[in-house]
Amino acid sequence: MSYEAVGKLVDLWMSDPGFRAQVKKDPKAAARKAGIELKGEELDALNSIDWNLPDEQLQTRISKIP
Amino acid sequence: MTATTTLVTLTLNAAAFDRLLASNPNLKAALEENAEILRIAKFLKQATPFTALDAAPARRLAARLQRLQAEAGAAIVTEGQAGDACYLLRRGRVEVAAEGRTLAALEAGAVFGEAALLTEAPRNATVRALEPCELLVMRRRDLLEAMGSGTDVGSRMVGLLRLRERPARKPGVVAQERATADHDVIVTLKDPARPAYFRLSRQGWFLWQKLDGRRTLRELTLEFMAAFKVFAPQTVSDVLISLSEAGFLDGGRLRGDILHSLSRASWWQAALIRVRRVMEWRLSLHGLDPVLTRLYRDGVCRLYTRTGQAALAVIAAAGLLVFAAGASSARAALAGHWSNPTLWFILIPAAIAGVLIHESGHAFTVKAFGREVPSGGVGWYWFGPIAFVDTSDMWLAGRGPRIAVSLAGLYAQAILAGLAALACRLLPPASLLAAASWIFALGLYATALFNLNPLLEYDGYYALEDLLERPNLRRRSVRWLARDLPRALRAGRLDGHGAELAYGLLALTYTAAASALAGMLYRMFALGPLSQVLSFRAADALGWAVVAGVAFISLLSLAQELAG
Repeated sequence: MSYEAVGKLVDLWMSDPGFRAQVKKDPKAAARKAGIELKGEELDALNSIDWNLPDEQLQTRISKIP
Repeated sequence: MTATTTLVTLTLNAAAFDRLLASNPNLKAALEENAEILRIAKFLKQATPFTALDAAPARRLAARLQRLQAEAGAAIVTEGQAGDACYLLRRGRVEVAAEGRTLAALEAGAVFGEAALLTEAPRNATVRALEPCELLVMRRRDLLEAMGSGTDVGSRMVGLLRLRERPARKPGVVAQERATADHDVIVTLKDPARPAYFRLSRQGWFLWQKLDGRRTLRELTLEFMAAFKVFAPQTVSDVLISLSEAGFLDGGRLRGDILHSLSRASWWQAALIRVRRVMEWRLSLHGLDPVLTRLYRDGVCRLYTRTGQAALAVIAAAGLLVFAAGASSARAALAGHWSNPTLWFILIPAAIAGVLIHESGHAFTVKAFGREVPSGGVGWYWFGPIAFVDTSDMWLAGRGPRIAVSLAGLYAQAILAGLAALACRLLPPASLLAAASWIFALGLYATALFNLNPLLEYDGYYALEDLLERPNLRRRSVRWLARDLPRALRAGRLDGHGAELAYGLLALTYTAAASALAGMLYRMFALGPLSQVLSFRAADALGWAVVAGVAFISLLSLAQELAG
């Protein structure tokens, strides 16, 4: 997979907040509307874009007694 | 144009206007300048970071911007040099290059050079005009003024910076990999310099390893896609922003004045921060770890052997049985000593010793698992004074050891209470020391039960969040309830957030119950005596004020979690 088309998609995503909103709503339609042709694995990769990772800063653990 | 009221208009035809301008060069210049400012303001509102600016601030900003012409081939910014301005390309095209590599070509409407404006870092690329260009120069003071206009220009500029930068891992950060109870692999990062901790998923860990300062969000997104078969620029960006905000990325730190301007809180957020500072005040003693390490090695470690633990368990269990069996006779003996001041001279230092033993239980168990205790101390936590030790280093350990450390203080307390109950049994039944031992044991058991309450941020809370593998459970639950519950209700599914729902609802219920209990206790014990000093109406009103105060402080604590 060359990812050339996906690279264009990322460029657009980075530069245009409106496009970001469209991608969030319907990634495949947003790509089509932007004139970016995706195929095979590239297209499949747009199926589940809304990943919510549990990565976070951990709060200080203060073991205390009243 | 349609007149909506009666009005008088003045007309100036073009010829007369031209004659007026020809005879007043100053007026002509002023009008031309004003027209140019309006054109720049219109242009600004088309550039991404400034689209949210209102007309008046946009005109003010436009008036401040300096105009710059660049010939084809001229370097506008040079890699490695310091800079305090960013550029808006009004006309022409420019090329961005770093380390001899062309990165991008930008066209009219593009903004560049924002990194040096927002951070202390030198220019990270050279930008050269590809054709004659017209630019607008924005200095840091101009940006600060635009940020002060109450719009989100600052955060948009920072967003632009974050999308373009090449994030790098902060040096010296330690990573510890482990499996969770759900058999997921997570990695905990520790920055020993502060210390601070960050939890990464398998995907987050993948990204962390790629943060070498050479890849942009574009490259990271493509590599993420190759590894996980998903197009997720938002996910990648979110992880990078979280790491950056937590201080785990090198460079790119925002300048103090920019940060100050960005973090200007609303009045209620500022009030919450101040209240929290007072309600969660702590006096920390740093440098405890070497002392604890020596004490642990020189003798305390024997308590953590099988024999030592068996002996302690026997004391705790036997003491509890003796305490329960002798409760009625001890209460009778106590009646004779209740008003004896010597009793309190014994109990006050004993209570302090109890607190020390509890905290030592936490601290030495941390040492038993080979982790650090950076600090300990005393302070105030919402409704009363506290003593504490910082056991954050246990974030690097597995779930079992973390739960053990959380409960170790209570266990140490139970052992001490057991010793006190056994002493009470051995001492002459009606003696002052027997009475003091029994009250001491009772106090230890009672505070241990209180400490187990997972709805307050004491030991029971940490044990529960470890048991559920939900770090930051309180904050997570309050936020989920406020932000995601309506969506979950509409969708009719919780998507694995049952723990957040249950904990959040229990926390709210507890707030109501605590307020009601405060009112009840006031009426049982304080209303009568106070009615004799104040009027009944005033004493009654005071009771309601106590209820409102407890509810307010509890809700404030939850609101603080929501606000972050």
